[in-house]
Amino acid sequence: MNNLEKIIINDYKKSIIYKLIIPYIGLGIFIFSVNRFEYNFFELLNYVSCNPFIIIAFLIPSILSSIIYIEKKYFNNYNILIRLSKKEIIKSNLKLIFYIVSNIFIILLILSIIFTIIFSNRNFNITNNYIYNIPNTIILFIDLFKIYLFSIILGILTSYLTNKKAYIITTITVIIIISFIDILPNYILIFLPGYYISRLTEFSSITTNIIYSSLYIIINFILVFSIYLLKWKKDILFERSN
Amino acid sequence: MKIEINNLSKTLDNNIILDNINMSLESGNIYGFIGRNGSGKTMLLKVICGFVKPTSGTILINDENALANNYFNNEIRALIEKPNFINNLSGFDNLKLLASINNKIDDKTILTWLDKVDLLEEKDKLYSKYSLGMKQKLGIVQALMEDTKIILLDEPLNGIDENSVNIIRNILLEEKNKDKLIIIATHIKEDIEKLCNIIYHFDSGKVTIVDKKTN
Repeated sequence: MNNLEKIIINDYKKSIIYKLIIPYIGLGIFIFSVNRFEYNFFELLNYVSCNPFIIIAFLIPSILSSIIYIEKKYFNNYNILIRLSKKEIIKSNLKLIFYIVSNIFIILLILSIIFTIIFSNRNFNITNNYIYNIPNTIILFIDLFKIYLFSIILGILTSYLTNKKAYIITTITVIIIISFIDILPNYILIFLPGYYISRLTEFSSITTNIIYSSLYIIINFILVFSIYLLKWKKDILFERSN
Repeated sequence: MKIEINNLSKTLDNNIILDNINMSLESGNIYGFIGRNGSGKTMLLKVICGFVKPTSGTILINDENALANNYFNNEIRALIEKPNFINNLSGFDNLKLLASINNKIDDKTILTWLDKVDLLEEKDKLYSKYSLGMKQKLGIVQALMEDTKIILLDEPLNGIDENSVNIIRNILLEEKNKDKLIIIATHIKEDIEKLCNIIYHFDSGKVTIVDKKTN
């Protein structure tokens, strides 16, 4: 990381947004892990860290607010932008998105492990997943990897959406998803972000799961990255930071 | 350095912000853009910087199409609208951060510039604690410190005390004599009269009058 990126990271880590993320995600994980003594360690870790509600209500808003914070403060700052080439701006921007998403994801993971140790029955036996008949730990690893990749895609998309209108639309969408997730039919759910990523759908085999999810992630990435690149071709500095 | 603007227009949501602007700007001059708020002065500065794309027309900087490039011209520095710094860094650290991006100048040069605008004593103070005038002076320093050939200043003397105004006016005149191309957008006639030798009057996105002063 260069000097500018290090300063941006330091500033982000001192921000109120970052300080709120830990208790916020912690609260979500606490709600979903408390009183689940019937689960063993890996079952509960699996249930908590890949829970669609935690992804939608806790992970996504944390990523959204963090990316918007750095975009508004640094990538909408003409003093900085004028000194960089567009290629350097995009490189720094993507690097920071990657760093921030990874950081939040690690927070989610660490908090999940802590609460799982506290609230599971502390039986560390690895059991087989009842759908795919393979060890739960492998499913956990695959699901976490999918969520991580999806979070990065979401981070890149958020970076494109940094204006008030887009922020309001995204927030309302998140609220609608949270409110209706249980009653929405599958043909609508398929259009929701993270459909193939979270536990909203079940596949006939683990191979189908991996193939569908990979295709979903690749298509999403290409789509989002193309949209993202458009951002730097359009006018910038319309919505000023301060 | 030479900036040539040909038939440049910018429309936003069906509103014409810049309407068929034509001008030729050369080094060794201070150009004044004068007009009421919303007349298009600031938008033109943003277009020259490369932050905003015009709807039509071209900008040539030293005969090179500035709009075709995938980079902001590294010979341009600007103070647009209001200073934009990081609140929890000191004035000096903010300038150091900006200088570190291109590594063109050292700490000594930054300190010299801070001294010139009478901010040396306040260099370690957090930017958030700066007064409006101090923020403005810091904004001017960041635009000037790297000795670039083109300097764009939007309302540069806003909120600055009279003593400092005179210091900055002298600095700008010195920079002009170093063959810089300086553009000042303002609605304060006194700044224009004391500094600029060519004045463009803006009204509703159009250049209505061009005044050339003979020194």
